[in-house]
Amino acid sequence: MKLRTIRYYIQEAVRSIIYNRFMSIASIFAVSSSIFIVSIFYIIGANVEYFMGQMEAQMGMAVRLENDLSQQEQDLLHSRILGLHHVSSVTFISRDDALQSMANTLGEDAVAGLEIINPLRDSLLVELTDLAFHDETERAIWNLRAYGVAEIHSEAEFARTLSTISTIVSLISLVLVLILAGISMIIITNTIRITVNARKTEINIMKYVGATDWFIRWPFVLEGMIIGLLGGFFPALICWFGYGRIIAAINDIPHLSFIDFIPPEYVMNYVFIFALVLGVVIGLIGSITSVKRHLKV
Amino acid sequence: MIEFAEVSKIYENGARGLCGLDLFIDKGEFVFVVGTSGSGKTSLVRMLLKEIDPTGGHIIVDGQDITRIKRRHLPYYRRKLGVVFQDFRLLKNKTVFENVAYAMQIVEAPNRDIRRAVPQVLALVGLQKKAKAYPNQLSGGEQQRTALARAIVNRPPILIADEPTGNLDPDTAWEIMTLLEDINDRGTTVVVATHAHDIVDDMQKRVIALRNGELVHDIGVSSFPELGGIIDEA
Repeated sequence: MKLRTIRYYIQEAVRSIIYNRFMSIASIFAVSSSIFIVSIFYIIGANVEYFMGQMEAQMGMAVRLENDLSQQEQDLLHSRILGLHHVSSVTFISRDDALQSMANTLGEDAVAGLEIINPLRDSLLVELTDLAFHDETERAIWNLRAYGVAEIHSEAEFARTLSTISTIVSLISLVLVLILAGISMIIITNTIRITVNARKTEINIMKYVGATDWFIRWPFVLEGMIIGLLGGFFPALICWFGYGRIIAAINDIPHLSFIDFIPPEYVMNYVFIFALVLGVVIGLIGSITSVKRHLKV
Repeated sequence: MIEFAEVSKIYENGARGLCGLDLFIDKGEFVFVVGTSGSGKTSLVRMLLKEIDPTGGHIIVDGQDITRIKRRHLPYYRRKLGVVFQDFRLLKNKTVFENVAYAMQIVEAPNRDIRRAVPQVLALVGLQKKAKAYPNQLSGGEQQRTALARAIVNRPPILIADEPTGNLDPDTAWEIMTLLEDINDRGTTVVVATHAHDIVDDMQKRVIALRNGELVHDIGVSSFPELGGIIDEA
């Protein structure tokens, strides 16, 4: 393809958008509305997943140690556990620290006298990369009994429930985004189809003059992609500016300040690209399928 | 140049377009195809444009059997033809210059060639002052001259005109026919489908008359009383 032909395609696409400006604006609006809704679901889904992830990260298991372990044995066990798959961190908590923590939580009176004969054990707090591997990791740690593991304390049932919820939320948000993207595609394809139908005479003339299918198709394809790109750009822009303000406003509400949202720049890096790519893909598919039916002359 | 060998066309609804038509048009000829509605002249033009295919026989154009052309090669065949329609078929969002230039852009002609050839051909059809006008700013005759300019700008060996004067007043119709004659004088084979027998008679060219899809007359030089009868008869 020659450079002047590419320039011609781009000129024709831009020109056509301007010439058919009312239909172009209607198409951009349809694309924007759909992608905006899809983006909102994407952001909500991502935040729920993030929230679950945060909770998962805080969930771990406490490995109680035998009382007579030397420092060297403790270090060996520590490194053994850290070396297991799906273990993200291992933190040593001494029996004195544990008692102090209990005193802080339950009050000094509740632990009065225990400082003389501390019944608690030294422990290792183990955090996992993914709660789905909780049971597997627990078994692996239990197999290290010979290295000084006395008992394991964990909230296995709660961990499993949390893991299941997290998977369900991920699936629901993925399915919703796919369904909405599909609906958007149908709406936008129809909008572009109306634009192309209005120009079927034009396509017909081009065919009689001897234009190849791709010579006819390219300006329409580029036009669809530009419309899709603009259609994706506006919701992306709204999400970019809106998201930061909304999470700031929510965190300003006293009882909701604990909610930890995905940082705006993290979401926006993805949502912005997601919206633009979705727009371009929708425009591309919409225009190709719409022009196809008029090319058989 | 153009040969129809035993060409038949039966449409899906059973209507007969052409019936065993044998025809030969030589290079550089000017031929009128005449006949009333349903005579088969539109079928003949549509087959030449390869808009429809015959149900039987072969059509040879410039040495190529067009009944065997694959769809992807169709645009290249159509570039050998200049086409003029009754309803002009101009691109309404393009100026006169751009409509004519479009035919050159599709063959990826260099811009300098386009800038040189389009004004020349617009001058030939008398539209050099209307280059920047859009189709809706032109009269019927001017629109048809634009279509004519677009049809000949790539210097195709064959020009097909389907009822080119159907939407024009008699004076303008004559202007168009004179232009077609000029184009023919430059060596282009011209095929004009029409039912305007006054023009056909005055032009004194070869006339092919069709009736019910069959060739009823093929006359080298016509004269009005005789030809008028043929067209009415056809």
